[in-house]
Amino acid sequence: MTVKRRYYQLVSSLPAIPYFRRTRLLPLSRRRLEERLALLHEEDLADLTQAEGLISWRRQPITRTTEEIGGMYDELMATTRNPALKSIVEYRMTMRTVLVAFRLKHQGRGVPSGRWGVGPYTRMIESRWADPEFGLVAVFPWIPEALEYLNQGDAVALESLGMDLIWTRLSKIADEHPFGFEQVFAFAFKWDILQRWLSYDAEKARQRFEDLIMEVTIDHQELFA
Amino acid sequence: MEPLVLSMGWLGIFSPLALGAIGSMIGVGRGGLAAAGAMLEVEAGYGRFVGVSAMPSSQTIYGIVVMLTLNRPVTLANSPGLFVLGALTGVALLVSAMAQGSACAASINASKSKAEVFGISIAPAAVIEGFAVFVFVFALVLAASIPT
Repeated sequence: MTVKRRYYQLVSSLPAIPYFRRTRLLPLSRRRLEERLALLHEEDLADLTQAEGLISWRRQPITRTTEEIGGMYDELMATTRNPALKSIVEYRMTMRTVLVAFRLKHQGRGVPSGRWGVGPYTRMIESRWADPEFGLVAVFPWIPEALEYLNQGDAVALESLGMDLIWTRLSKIADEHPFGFEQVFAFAFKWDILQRWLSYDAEKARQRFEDLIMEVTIDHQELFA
Repeated sequence: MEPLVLSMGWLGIFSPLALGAIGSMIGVGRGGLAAAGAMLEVEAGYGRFVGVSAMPSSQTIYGIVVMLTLNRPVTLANSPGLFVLGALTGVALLVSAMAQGSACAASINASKSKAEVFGISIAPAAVIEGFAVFVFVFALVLAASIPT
């Protein structure tokens, strides 16, 4: 049985998180976030940590094999208690699987064998390999846009599209479960997306920060001239 | 059978206060937790959060007044009326206090990062209070028609 826990204090202690494409600053540090997440019930914290290890945008070791990822996914789907957490993990992992299939096809490879992806659509992709979109457009309307970016070699736009889709789904989950565990993990995953997005642009951010400091300093000098 | 009917009358007399107080505890608890969380995020204005979190206290006061109004010698003639009026009033106060606590928590959560919405964000909690007041007032009106 799923226990519906409410986290009034924890949710209220989290700052508003701006849409990742419209901000240049993290609303709180990772350390501060982890301090807040320590208020979670131990079962929920364990589920969140396990899910973060699998779908986090920043915690994916290159050495991790597909078999290992598949094993982690199976374990998480078998043990995680929260259906919304399961659904977001499945969505993210299915998205990765579909993109892997498109990349393989883009490289001119044939139908993959063995365990090459996870989720409910791997068999369908294999059986409809000849179809340019694997017959999945009805399920995933973002596929044409993703294919366009893939063909253009625009990795950042493709990543941004994936982040936007996950962000939208997380917002919906959070809105449906006020003060629930769902709102907490939605925040944690959004923070992760934002952190990853900002890391692409760290140099620009540093430059902008220096410009702002310069502007403030000049204003200050003029004020007291 | 007679003691059972009389017990139900007593249950009806005390229900508005007991259930209203339980609702207030849960409601204020929800608001209070949200206020404590919001205090970690803001640098000032803690008092208003605590004030909002205390809103579901009013259901206990309504419960006290309804209980005192219903309080009379319990007889076989008035016991069913006391039970129905008191128990339903109590349940209504319980649910309204819990819902108001959630609304207050949401208000605190919204206004901590956007201070300008503080006033309007309390509106849903005030509307819930309105429903509790309806129950309170009409419980008093109907209590007058229960035989003493």
